[in-house]
Amino acid sequence: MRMTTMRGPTSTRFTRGLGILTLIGMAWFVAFGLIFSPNDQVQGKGVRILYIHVPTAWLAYLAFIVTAVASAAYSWRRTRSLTWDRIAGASAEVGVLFMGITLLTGSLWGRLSWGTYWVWDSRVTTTAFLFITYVGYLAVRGLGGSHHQRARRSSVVALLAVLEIPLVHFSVQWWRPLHQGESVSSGKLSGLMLFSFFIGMIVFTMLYAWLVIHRQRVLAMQDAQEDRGLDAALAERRSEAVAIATTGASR
Amino acid sequence: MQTTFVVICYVATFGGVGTLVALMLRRARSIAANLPAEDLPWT
Repeated sequence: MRMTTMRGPTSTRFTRGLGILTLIGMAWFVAFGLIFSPNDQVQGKGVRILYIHVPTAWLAYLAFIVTAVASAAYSWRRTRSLTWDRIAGASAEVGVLFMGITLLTGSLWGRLSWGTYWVWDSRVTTTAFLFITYVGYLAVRGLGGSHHQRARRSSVVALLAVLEIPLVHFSVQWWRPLHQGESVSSGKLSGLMLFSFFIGMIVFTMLYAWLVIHRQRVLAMQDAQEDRGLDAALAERRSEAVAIATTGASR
Repeated sequence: MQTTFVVICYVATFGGVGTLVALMLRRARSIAANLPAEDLPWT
């Protein structure tokens, strides 16, 4: 059996480097987000929440798109591999985490800007619906069966669930809700505010990559553990059957 | 109130991510202790 190392069983030189860069980036992000960037003329300090809210929302979209692409790769016979399924699962988990952060930070920002934690407008409601859909996707992954049964089931759900993303993204254009539209492309952010926002985008992207790599490896280890447990149980059963047959023959 | 909400956002985000990372790495260590090296091809 393998001895546990101090470095961690899911890490490599690349992931260690990525992790260190992410930690340094986080420190920069917190410094710029909380200290160096100025207050907004309209939103005041509330704009600092958007440095987390917007990048986590975009990364959640990216995570769910990666889930769909990996699920498509698993569904296609030529590229069928459980690695794709594990990447899909890991990316969905990180996406749900980021989408949860988006909803939490959005709720607090809404309290400051709109005077309420929640409104049933199209962007907020469709985002919550997307979050619940992917929680359901993770629940489907947790149902019983073999690894390939899990992969087949969840790939269908992932390929359907990703269709919600355009609905969420374009909801601000189609229905003109209370939620504001584009902040970056419309030029509402500039100078240090824009710089803080871009640091957030880079840091959360690196964090996403680090989390997906590690989580995918943990899922591979869980699968291997289950396979070995099953192999051991089968071997035990066979030896019992052989013992019974031998005893019967000797009589 | 604004400062409190901003701080809650940053603490919840990085605290939440940090907690989940710690749980994930702990789980990885506990599984790896029962697996041979061939099941960890990336190491």
